[in-house]
Amino acid sequence: MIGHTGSGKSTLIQHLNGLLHATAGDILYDGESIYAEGYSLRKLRSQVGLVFQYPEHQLFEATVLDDVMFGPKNLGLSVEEQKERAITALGQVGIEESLFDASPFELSGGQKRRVAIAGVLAMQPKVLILDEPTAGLDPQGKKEILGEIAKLQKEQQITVVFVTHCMEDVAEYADLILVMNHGKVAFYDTPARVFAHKEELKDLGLDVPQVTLVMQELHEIGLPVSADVITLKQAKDQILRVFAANASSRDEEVACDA
Amino acid sequence: MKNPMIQVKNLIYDYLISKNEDEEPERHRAIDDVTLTVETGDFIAILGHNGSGKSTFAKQINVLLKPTSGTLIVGGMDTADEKNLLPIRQTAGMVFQNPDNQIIATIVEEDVGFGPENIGVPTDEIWKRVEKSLSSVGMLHYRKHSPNRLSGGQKQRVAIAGVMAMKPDCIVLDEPTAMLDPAGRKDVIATVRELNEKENVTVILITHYMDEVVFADKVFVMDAGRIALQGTPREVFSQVEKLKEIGLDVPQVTELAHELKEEGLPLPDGILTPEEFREEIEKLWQSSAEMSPTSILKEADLKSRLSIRSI
Amino acid sequence: MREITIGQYYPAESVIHRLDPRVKLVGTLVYIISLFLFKSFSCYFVVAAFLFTVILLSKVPLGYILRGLKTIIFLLLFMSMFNLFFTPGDVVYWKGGPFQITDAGIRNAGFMALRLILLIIGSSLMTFTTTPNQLTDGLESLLKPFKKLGLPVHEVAMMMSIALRFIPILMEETNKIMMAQMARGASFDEGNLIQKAKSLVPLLVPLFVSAFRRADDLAMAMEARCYHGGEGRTKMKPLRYQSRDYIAYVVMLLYLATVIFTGKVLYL
Repeated sequence: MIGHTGSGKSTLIQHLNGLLHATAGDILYDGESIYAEGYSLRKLRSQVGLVFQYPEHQLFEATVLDDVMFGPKNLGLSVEEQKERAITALGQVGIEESLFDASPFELSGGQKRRVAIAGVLAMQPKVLILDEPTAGLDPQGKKEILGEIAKLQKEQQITVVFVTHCMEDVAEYADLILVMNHGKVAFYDTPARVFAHKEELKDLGLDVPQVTLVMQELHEIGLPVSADVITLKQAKDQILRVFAANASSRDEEVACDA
Repeated sequence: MKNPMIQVKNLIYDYLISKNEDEEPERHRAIDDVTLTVETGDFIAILGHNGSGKSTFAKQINVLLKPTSGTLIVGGMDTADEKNLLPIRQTAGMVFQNPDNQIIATIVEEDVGFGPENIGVPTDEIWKRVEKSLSSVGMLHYRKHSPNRLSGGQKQRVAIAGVMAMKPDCIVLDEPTAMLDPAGRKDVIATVRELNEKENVTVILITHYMDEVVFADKVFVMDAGRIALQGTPREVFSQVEKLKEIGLDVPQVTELAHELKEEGLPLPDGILTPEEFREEIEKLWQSSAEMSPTSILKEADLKSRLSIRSI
Repeated sequence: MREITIGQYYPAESVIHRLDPRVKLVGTLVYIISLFLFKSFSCYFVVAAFLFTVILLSKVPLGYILRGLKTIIFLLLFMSMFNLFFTPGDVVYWKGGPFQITDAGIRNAGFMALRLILLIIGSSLMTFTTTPNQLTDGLESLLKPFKKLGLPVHEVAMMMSIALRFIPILMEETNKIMMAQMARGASFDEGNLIQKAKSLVPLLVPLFVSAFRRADDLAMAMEARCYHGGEGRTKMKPLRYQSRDYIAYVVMLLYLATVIFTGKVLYL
């Protein structure tokens, strides 16, 4: 999910687990209205896990393990189950066992954030929503976190919604992009199709990935490359192919002439 | 010959961590033997991942921290000397990461006036400076506003105006865009570049966004408290492998150009912007069309011609 | 949480905004004293009329001011009920166990509520129309005599103004942390008092951590901008009495005289 600050992204995702109640309209989860009478919001929140921006600011327990157990505890699970889930979740985000008894406040920034994400994963949600999970991290930390989230999505079949400002991340990880503008959905489509609207996105204060930009421009000036390239690898393959094709067609001409 | 703005010689900084009160505190080296010079009027970028020592270094310039050993001279003044404290802080102003935590007043103009008040500038002069510095960051229109209602990028520009009102020779910005959205980031960087060009303020920008340092005169890359790489952006970004090893990114087109070059396409090193990339590929495309009918991928002659032309 | 308006500045161009903060501080003090001096409804009518005039002059919307009362509504109800049920009086309208409703009780409850409402509105009007920096300057100037006794007047005033500046930020933060813990299945409105108190731990720890982090950041930012206490400091907006300020002092005296007159001479 992308959109400039104040476009309504954060407000929208807080509706998805019932933290905010819509003024009008309905939200269906698994085919059921979450506003129906008697619908358990607590259950919804365990199924639709929401990780806020800078989630490490919400850590509060004395140890990492206790903090991650907070969610399962609220679900009313036994202590053994709480612990089991916490350990699984910490494993999923790559926190080593030696850190389980450490105070969350002693960890590095990236570690803290992963513990905080584990705190939501420990509820074993089917949908994981993350509000700018990489904000403030350096490139290395960013890659690690996104890599782990992508792995969860593939291996645990978790549906992931993530809010970001980084188009390169969108291109690399997302199946679909939702572009928000002034509280409305501006686009909801595959990255390649959304990035084709370069000018409209610019008007919304959004960019396309650098590679998409250059490939669109090369396409416009007549190079036989496709304009819907969104990742670095695609761009590289395309450029190499056209130059190789060009070269071999000339080689053929030489052969014919001869 | 003008004096350099900042001279750093064999700077070392250790901080102490004590987990237990009885235990001997543990020494942790944050800056490890750094020597560098920043010339007056330059736009300097310092890159590095979190914990590389870049923020610690920034705080040294502003004497929020003092060297464990080595010397740091700012505008001709030694930071180790107690009596230089206020003059140095006035010479080298500092802007921090979190826009919310560095605004003191509840009205924009009063916040900008805070610095000049502290250094004892006469009232009439404070008003002039506030007006001038707010207009230099394009925020004069917001002078009577409450900072709480501004966007992150606008708050950072107010913070920059607050520093400018002290008439510094140099501004140190410690990851000023880390908490901003892309639009806010662009605004802040554009403001800083303008101050550097028009007011000739020396800028030291600390960041981990690669696209922000493309315009710098010189880039220093820090890793584990040391300077791992330095040079013009083009020189530094030519070293894609080394940067990746340190855990840093390069702009996407730089990486693309680098990978294409690895595959044998004769592109120059250190392409920095999409425009440059497009131009280079276009040139290559045209010359491949004109070329004698041999695969340009193998054409050594062309390769050398291109690399000469592009530098 | 965003509804909290008490203690916040409301930017506007008005006579009241332009008044010297010292006038407003003294005025608020006079006003508060006037509230507690008297026990007749007619006096409160004068007080309310005065307050209403000042609000009109200040250009702060009435709705905005009243919103600030929302936060104290419980305190208000509690104190009124207490007075209503526990005050002995000559005429007893109703009696049940330890509770009774008497003429004096109704009177006291009414007074209490009225006084509290007028007090809150009056004093928040001062913060609505005075920036924390001006407030700091005004306090500093008024407290100057105590400086000789060793009281760190500038520093105390500075602390006050920073506290006011951070109220909305910490409120928003509290809200955010609450939402985040709710997303992890926490609830803040279930169970008995002890359970409720316990559920505050996940809220208070992060809040304190964040407050300290902000304090640390702010201290550094202030130092970086050459802050070193009150010594050698100049003012961007130095306090100088204008003719309107002297007029305001006269109005204040007239107001006090009117209230005393209605209360003590007319016995209304």
